[in-house]
Amino acid sequence: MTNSTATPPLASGTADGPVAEVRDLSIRFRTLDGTGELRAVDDVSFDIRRGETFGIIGESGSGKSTIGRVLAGLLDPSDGTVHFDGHDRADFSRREWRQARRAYQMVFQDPSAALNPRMTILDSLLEPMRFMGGMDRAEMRQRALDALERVGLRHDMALRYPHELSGGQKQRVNIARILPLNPKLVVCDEVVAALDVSIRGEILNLFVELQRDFGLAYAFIAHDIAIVAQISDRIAVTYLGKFMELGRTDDVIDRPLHPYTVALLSAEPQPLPAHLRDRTQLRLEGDIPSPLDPPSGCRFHTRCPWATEICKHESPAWRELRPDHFTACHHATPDGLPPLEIGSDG
Amino acid sequence: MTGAPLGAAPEPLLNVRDLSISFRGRRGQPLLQVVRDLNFAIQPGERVGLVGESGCGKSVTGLSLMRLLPSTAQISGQVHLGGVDMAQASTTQIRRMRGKSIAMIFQEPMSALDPVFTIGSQISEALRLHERLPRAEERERVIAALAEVGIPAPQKRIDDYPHQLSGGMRQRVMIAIALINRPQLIIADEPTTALDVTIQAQIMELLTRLSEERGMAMLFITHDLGVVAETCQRMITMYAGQIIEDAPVDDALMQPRHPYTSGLLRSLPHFNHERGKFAYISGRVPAPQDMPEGCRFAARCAYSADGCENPQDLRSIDAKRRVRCWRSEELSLDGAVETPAPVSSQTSGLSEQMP
Repeated sequence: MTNSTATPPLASGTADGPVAEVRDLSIRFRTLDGTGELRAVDDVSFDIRRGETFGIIGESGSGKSTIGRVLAGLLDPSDGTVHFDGHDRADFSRREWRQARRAYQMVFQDPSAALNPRMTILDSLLEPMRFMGGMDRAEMRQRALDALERVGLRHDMALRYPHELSGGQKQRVNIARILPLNPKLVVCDEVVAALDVSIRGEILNLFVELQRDFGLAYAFIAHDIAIVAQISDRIAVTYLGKFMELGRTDDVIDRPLHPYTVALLSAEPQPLPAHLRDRTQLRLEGDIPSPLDPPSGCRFHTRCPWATEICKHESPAWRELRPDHFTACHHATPDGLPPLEIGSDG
Repeated sequence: MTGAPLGAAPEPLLNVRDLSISFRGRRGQPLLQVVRDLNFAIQPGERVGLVGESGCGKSVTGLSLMRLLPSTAQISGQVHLGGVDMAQASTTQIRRMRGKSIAMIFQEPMSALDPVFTIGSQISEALRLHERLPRAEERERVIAALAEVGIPAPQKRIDDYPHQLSGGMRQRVMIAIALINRPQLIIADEPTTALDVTIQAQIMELLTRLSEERGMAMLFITHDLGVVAETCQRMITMYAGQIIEDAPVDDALMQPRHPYTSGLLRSLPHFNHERGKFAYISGRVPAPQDMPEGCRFAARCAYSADGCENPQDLRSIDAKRRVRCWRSEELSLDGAVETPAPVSSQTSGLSEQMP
């Protein structure tokens, strides 16, 4: 891989340096029968800047959730490094990490599964603080109730059990659980996917508010590109364990550099009348290849209308084609992709 | 009382009249009504979206059309399909119609397919229920069916087991099973929800093409208004067990006439919306055991007023639209687009190239 050319040096250590710096990250899993190896993430580098929302989109097998687990310190790199606030994850002792990890938290997709059904909401709120230690009972209780209020729930919710709450309320509790820890980075993995459309906005607005009030950075992982686009400052597009493209949201959405991003944007069903829909759609043929046996060269070449010979053999370099706008594509230029040759069915 | 089902003038393929569905709870618990007085019709070849959020009754409605509800369900009303009332028909009659007149596609193709049989044998099984063919001919038919739903190398794939196929391919197999006896109506319950977005696009295109080629009607049950916009001609919106709006899909998207439809459309995220500001509908759907007598959406509605506490009828407001809101005519509601600016078509070199 020739990615190292575009890998920026670590800027860590400074107060306004990135909250997380990921360099040449690979995550490999053994298959159950022990014979194979799954490269869930393969040689990915990026920073999460303080207070930003870093969107990660991708389909099944793209490695987006695996990256999220690394960012929450739940998974160690197989190769490469992760620096949290300038400190290499690998250098933390167990005890140091136990203290440090409070700053890097996660909210999960299924709000019900993330709460213990036999614990009251208050106990669920207290648990992370107990684990961290250093506070007396009265202080923990007060912080728990403050957090509850902060996410828009009444104090009397504290003594209820999860089954008495709606999905939206449960997700608020999951957010409230991490607030007393003063996190700097919160990994949001499909946090509204289990909620009804009409109430998603309310929860997303809460995320936005908390970010503003507490200066949180988010790694916002979702398969729904419209949601990611509406909340993120920057977006990374993943496919089979690789980053295809990374840039500021407007650049990625309005002037995508990578064919896969173009395809994702046109695959999203648009709730618009026929005459307002973009008719120039790029439809991908074929399936997403198995991550156990990813294609050679550019991993997207088997489905890419722009693919040529070189794409089959050579993994494209990660290049900054426009300021702060990266892609890994042999055919992308600073002006975007070259016109597609017509002749296919379109 | 209730507005006549739209397009009832020519003989509809499916005609649902006053359909109500309740479930018996545990002993001593009252009946829970989950669907109330549904009236709608589907014309031959028409693609209709039945949309709504969890618990609105859309899936239960779909299952009731196939007579697939458990025995705890109590159904009243009529479901006329090709001259037979599915709600009253005998089990034998229903069996004859399932697959042949009406067929269903489910959300989760892995759980709908049997893991221990090849996909070929599962398609043959569906075929054999209605048609007895010599073995070789049957195999030919199955291979043709697989080819038609876009499965590459169907001669080989016919002997695969479900786990050997991807999610998208499994859903294609489900479609092949549903289509093998050439039904006139397909009920598709969230057929693309479990699929990745690039695969979803393929399946939506396939279903639309098959419906057009065969003049086959479809009822798309989904929460995804984008899917409805791209596949259906008409959109029926349900809320809390009732139809609240029924309109041609483009009209519903541009100018919804019920505040709930409007709220739902406004709640959808969009590339062009302002960053970090999300619209939503506050409040929650009332539970089935304490449904209000009046408008079921009133407690969450920005336009509720004196009069909304009265029961609301589903009224015809013009030849093609019905709505369950007495204020509909005086309200001016936002649709999917605030300012009718087309979505960016400058995505890369594509737009200029394709006519």
